Amino acid sequence: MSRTALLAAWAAIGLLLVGCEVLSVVTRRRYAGALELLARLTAGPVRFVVVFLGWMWLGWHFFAR
Amino acid sequence: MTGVVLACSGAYAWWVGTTTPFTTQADVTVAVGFAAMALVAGRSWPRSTTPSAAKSADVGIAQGGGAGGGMPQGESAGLGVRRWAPWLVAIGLVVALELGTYFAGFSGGRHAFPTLSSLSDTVERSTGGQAVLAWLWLVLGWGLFHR
Repeated sequence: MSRTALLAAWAAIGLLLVGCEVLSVVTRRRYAGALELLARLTAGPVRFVVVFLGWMWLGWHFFAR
Repeated sequence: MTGVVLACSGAYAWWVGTTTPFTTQADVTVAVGFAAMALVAGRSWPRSTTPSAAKSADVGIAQGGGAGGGMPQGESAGLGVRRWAPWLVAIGLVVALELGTYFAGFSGGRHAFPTLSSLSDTVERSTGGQAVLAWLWLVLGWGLFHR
Protein backbone atom coordinates (compact mmCIF):
# COMPACT_ATOMS: atom_id res chain seq x y z
CA MET A 1 0.00 0.00 0.00
CA SER A 2 1.41 3.40 -0.97
CA ARG A 3 2.03 6.30 1.39
CA THR A 4 -0.58 8.32 -0.47
CA ALA A 5 -3.21 5.65 0.09
CA LEU A 6 -2.37 5.50 3.79
CA LEU A 7 -2.55 9.28 4.12
CA ALA A 8 -5.95 9.14 2.42
CA ALA A 9 -7.01 6.45 4.89
CA TRP A 10 -5.97 8.67 7.81
CA ALA A 11 -7.91 11.57 6.31
CA ALA A 12 -10.97 9.38 5.80
CA ILE A 13 -10.84 8.24 9.43
CA GLY A 14 -10.55 11.87 10.54
CA LEU A 15 -13.66 12.69 8.56
CA LEU A 16 -15.39 9.63 10.02
CA LEU A 17 -14.68 10.89 13.55
CA VAL A 18 -16.14 14.27 12.65
CA GLY A 19 -19.06 12.45 11.03
CA CYS A 20 -19.79 10.62 14.29
CA GLU A 21 -20.36 13.94 16.03
CA VAL A 22 -22.39 15.30 13.11
CA LEU A 23 -24.53 12.16 13.17
CA SER A 24 -25.16 12.68 16.87
CA VAL A 25 -26.22 16.27 16.32
CA VAL A 26 -28.50 15.67 13.32
CA THR A 27 -30.23 12.74 15.04
CA ARG A 28 -30.76 14.84 18.19
CA ARG A 29 -28.39 12.65 20.22
CA ARG A 30 -30.00 9.40 19.16
CA TYR A 31 -26.35 8.44 18.69
CA ALA A 32 -23.76 9.36 21.32
CA GLY A 33 -21.80 12.59 20.88
CA ALA A 34 -18.12 13.28 21.45
CA LEU A 35 -18.54 14.90 24.87
CA GLU A 36 -20.76 12.06 26.02
CA LEU A 37 -18.06 9.63 24.88
CA LEU A 38 -15.41 11.56 26.82
CA ALA A 39 -17.64 11.68 29.91
CA ARG A 40 -18.21 7.94 29.68
CA LEU A 41 -14.47 7.30 29.39
CA THR A 42 -13.84 9.16 32.66
CA ALA A 43 -16.86 7.90 34.62
CA GLY A 44 -15.63 6.63 37.99
CA PRO A 45 -12.32 7.25 39.77
CA VAL A 46 -10.36 4.38 38.22
CA ARG A 47 -11.21 5.28 34.63
CA PHE A 48 -10.61 8.93 35.47
CA VAL A 49 -7.07 8.26 36.69
CA VAL A 50 -6.23 5.84 33.87
CA VAL A 51 -7.45 8.29 31.21
CA PHE A 52 -5.58 11.14 32.91
CA LEU A 53 -2.35 9.11 32.80
CA GLY A 54 -3.04 8.36 29.13
CA TRP A 55 -3.58 12.04 28.42
CA MET A 56 -0.28 12.85 30.18
CA TRP A 57 1.54 10.24 28.13
CA LEU A 58 0.12 11.76 24.94
CA GLY A 59 1.55 15.20 25.79
CA TRP A 60 4.87 13.77 26.87
CA HIS A 61 5.16 11.66 23.71
CA PHE A 62 4.22 14.42 21.28
CA PHE A 63 5.97 17.43 22.82
CA ALA A 64 8.71 16.33 25.21
CA ARG A 65 10.14 12.96 24.13
CA MET B 1 -14.07 33.37 32.02
CA THR B 2 -14.14 31.66 28.60
CA GLY B 3 -11.97 34.44 27.18
CA VAL B 4 -9.40 34.02 29.94
CA VAL B 5 -9.27 30.25 29.42
CA LEU B 6 -8.87 30.68 25.66
CA ALA B 7 -6.16 33.34 26.07
CA CYS B 8 -4.21 31.30 28.64
CA SER B 9 -4.50 28.07 26.66
CA GLY B 10 -3.45 29.86 23.47
CA ALA B 11 -0.43 31.45 25.15
CA TYR B 12 0.54 28.15 26.71
CA ALA B 13 0.15 26.29 23.39
CA TRP B 14 2.39 28.85 21.67
CA TRP B 15 4.96 28.41 24.43
CA VAL B 16 4.90 24.65 23.81
CA GLY B 17 5.20 25.37 20.09
CA THR B 18 8.49 27.20 20.65
CA THR B 19 10.14 24.28 22.41
CA THR B 20 12.22 21.46 20.98
CA PRO B 21 11.62 17.88 22.10
CA PHE B 22 14.32 16.23 24.20
CA THR B 23 15.21 19.50 25.93
CA THR B 24 14.68 20.61 29.52
CA GLN B 25 12.49 23.47 28.29
CA ALA B 26 10.15 20.97 26.58
CA ASP B 27 10.00 18.88 29.75
CA VAL B 28 9.14 21.94 31.82
CA THR B 29 6.42 23.24 29.48
CA VAL B 30 4.69 19.86 29.30
CA ALA B 31 4.95 19.49 33.08
CA VAL B 32 3.24 22.88 33.47
CA GLY B 33 0.40 21.53 31.29
CA PHE B 34 0.16 18.46 33.52
CA ALA B 35 -0.09 20.65 36.62
CA ALA B 36 -2.73 22.94 35.13
CA MET B 37 -4.88 20.04 33.97
CA ALA B 38 -4.42 18.31 37.34
CA LEU B 39 -6.03 21.37 38.95
CA VAL B 40 -8.94 21.16 36.52
CA ALA B 41 -9.26 17.41 37.06
CA GLY B 42 -9.07 17.79 40.84
CA ARG B 43 -12.13 20.02 40.80
CA SER B 44 -13.97 17.48 38.62
CA TRP B 45 -13.00 14.38 40.57
CA PRO B 46 -15.85 11.85 40.11
CA ARG B 47 -17.92 11.51 43.28
CA SER B 48 -19.51 8.21 42.30
CA THR B 49 -17.51 5.05 42.92
CA THR B 50 -20.12 2.44 42.05
CA PRO B 51 -20.95 1.29 38.51
CA SER B 52 -24.65 2.01 39.06
CA ALA B 53 -23.91 5.59 40.07
CA ALA B 54 -21.67 6.04 37.06
CA LYS B 55 -24.40 4.60 34.85
CA SER B 56 -26.88 7.06 36.32
CA ALA B 57 -24.48 9.86 35.51
CA ASP B 58 -24.33 8.63 31.91
CA VAL B 59 -28.11 8.59 31.64
CA GLY B 60 -28.15 12.09 33.05
CA ILE B 61 -25.88 13.15 30.22
CA ALA B 62 -28.08 11.43 27.66
CA GLN B 63 -31.12 13.17 29.14
CA GLY B 64 -29.65 16.54 28.49
CA GLY B 65 -28.13 17.29 31.86
CA GLY B 66 -24.74 17.56 30.23
CA ALA B 67 -23.02 17.23 26.92
CA GLY B 68 -25.18 14.49 25.48
CA GLY B 69 -28.27 16.50 24.61
CA GLY B 70 -31.95 15.97 25.19
CA MET B 71 -32.72 12.33 24.58
CA PRO B 72 -35.43 10.58 26.61
CA GLN B 73 -34.08 7.99 29.06
CA GLY B 74 -36.12 5.04 27.75
CA GLU B 75 -35.17 5.70 24.17
CA SER B 76 -31.50 5.97 25.15
CA ALA B 77 -31.53 2.68 27.04
CA GLY B 78 -33.38 0.92 24.24
CA LEU B 79 -30.72 1.72 21.67
CA GLY B 80 -27.94 0.22 23.82
CA VAL B 81 -24.71 -0.49 21.96
CA ARG B 82 -26.13 0.89 18.72
CA ARG B 83 -25.86 4.40 20.17
CA TRP B 84 -22.11 3.90 20.41
CA ALA B 85 -21.62 1.92 17.19
CA PRO B 86 -20.30 4.82 15.04
CA TRP B 87 -17.66 5.68 17.65
CA LEU B 88 -16.70 2.04 18.17
CA VAL B 89 -16.19 1.59 14.43
CA ALA B 90 -14.22 4.83 14.05
CA ILE B 91 -11.99 4.18 17.07
CA GLY B 92 -11.50 0.59 15.96
CA LEU B 93 -10.29 1.83 12.58
CA VAL B 94 -7.89 4.29 14.23
CA VAL B 95 -6.40 1.52 16.37
CA ALA B 96 -6.18 -0.90 13.42
CA LEU B 97 -4.51 1.60 11.09
CA GLU B 98 -2.14 2.83 13.81
CA LEU B 99 -1.04 -0.70 14.70
CA GLY B 100 -0.86 -1.77 11.05
CA THR B 101 1.32 1.15 9.99
CA TYR B 102 3.41 0.95 13.16
CA PHE B 103 4.43 -2.66 12.59
CA ALA B 104 4.66 -2.36 8.79
CA GLY B 105 7.03 0.58 9.29
CA PHE B 106 9.69 -1.63 10.88
CA SER B 107 10.39 -3.37 7.59
CA GLY B 108 8.99 -0.98 5.00
CA GLY B 109 10.24 2.32 6.45
CA ARG B 110 8.39 4.86 8.54
CA HIS B 111 7.96 7.32 5.67
CA ALA B 112 6.05 4.76 3.62
CA PHE B 113 3.89 3.74 6.59
CA PRO B 114 2.97 6.90 8.50
CA THR B 115 1.60 6.56 12.03
CA LEU B 116 -0.17 9.32 13.94
CA SER B 117 3.11 9.99 15.71
CA SER B 118 5.14 10.36 12.51
CA LEU B 119 2.41 12.53 10.98
CA SER B 120 2.57 14.78 14.02
CA ASP B 121 6.35 15.09 13.55
CA THR B 122 5.66 16.63 10.15
CA VAL B 123 3.18 19.11 11.62
CA GLU B 124 5.53 19.96 14.49
CA ARG B 125 8.28 21.17 12.17
CA SER B 126 6.75 24.63 12.45
CA THR B 127 6.10 26.53 15.68
CA GLY B 128 2.50 27.20 14.64
CA GLY B 129 1.85 23.56 13.81
CA GLN B 130 3.24 22.40 17.14
CA ALA B 131 1.23 25.10 18.93
CA VAL B 132 -2.00 23.95 17.26
CA LEU B 133 -1.32 20.35 18.29
CA ALA B 134 -0.57 21.48 21.85
CA TRP B 135 -3.82 23.43 21.93
CA LEU B 136 -5.76 20.38 20.67
CA TRP B 137 -4.10 18.35 23.42
CA LEU B 138 -5.36 20.86 25.97
CA VAL B 139 -8.86 20.85 24.43
CA LEU B 140 -8.91 17.06 24.69
CA GLY B 141 -7.90 17.29 28.35
CA TRP B 142 -10.51 19.94 29.01
CA GLY B 143 -13.20 17.78 27.35
CA LEU B 144 -12.14 14.78 29.39
CA PHE B 145 -11.58 16.27 32.81
CA HIS B 146 -13.64 19.44 33.10
CA ARG B 147 -17.15 19.08 34.55
